[in-house]
Amino acid sequence: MIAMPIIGRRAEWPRPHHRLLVLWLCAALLAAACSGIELVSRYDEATDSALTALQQKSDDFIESLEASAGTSDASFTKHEAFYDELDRDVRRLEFRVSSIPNNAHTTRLVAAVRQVLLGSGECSAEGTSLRDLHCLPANQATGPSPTALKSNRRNINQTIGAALNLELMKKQGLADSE
Amino acid sequence: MAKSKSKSRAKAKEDVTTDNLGDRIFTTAKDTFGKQFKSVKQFLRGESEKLAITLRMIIEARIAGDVSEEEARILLNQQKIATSAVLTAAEGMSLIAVQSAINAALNVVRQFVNGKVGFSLL
Repeated sequence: MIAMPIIGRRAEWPRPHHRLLVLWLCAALLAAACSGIELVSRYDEATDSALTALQQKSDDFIESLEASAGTSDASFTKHEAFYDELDRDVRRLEFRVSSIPNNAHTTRLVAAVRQVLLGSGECSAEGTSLRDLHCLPANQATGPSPTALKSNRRNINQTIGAALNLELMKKQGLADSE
Repeated sequence: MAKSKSKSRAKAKEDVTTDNLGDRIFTTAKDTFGKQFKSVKQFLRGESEKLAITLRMIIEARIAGDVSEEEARILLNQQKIATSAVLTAAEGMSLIAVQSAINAALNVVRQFVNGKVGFSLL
């Protein structure tokens, strides 16, 4: 048998690795049956709204804290009620996302949102959150430094933004597969 | 844009034959996945830049004495969580890209396959 020239082989369609991909896709399609596959949950408007509200609420709070930093208006005790309210909002969102099937990534992201906003709930110098920053012994009376708050704000926005981006990608993904 | 996409999808659906079934599945899946994966890459690039800015800000503020040691430690811990959140979101987005690719391919061949077998298999 004469070996085919390389150029001829390149012109072959589908190529061996493409055939494998086609076989894999066919198997996936059969497994998908009539409703298609769902590896990730569908877009959830309530999650989108709750994340957007959390971002706005925390952003407004940090802005006002930054403006009053260094004064007694920024004391931790004056804002404890805000943290309780934030805790309630995050708890509601956690309940919502954990009750949706195939929603592991968003559930993990909401857990990260809790960590950056409220931490473990105990004031800790080794903490991870806005609350931890605020209740440091040196910050309790007049609040965290404006520079720390700026950086903190970025981290929070980045974390909530990641969760929001994923939710919006679910919406886009659904539109693309239709 | 959306109109032309649905037009080409409708055309692809019409053109499905027994011979080009694999080809239609492959090209639809490849196109959909490519578009979605581009979005994931753009997201990851943009977020990586933001993370670098925040990290630089913590270093500079600590050197300038604008943040205390405790504040810097908490900010760094928080930064690690933000980084892992970005990666978690990118991982989820990649799964969505795979899901969209398979479901788009399924949509393109559904009518043809169901017509051939005589019942709603797909």
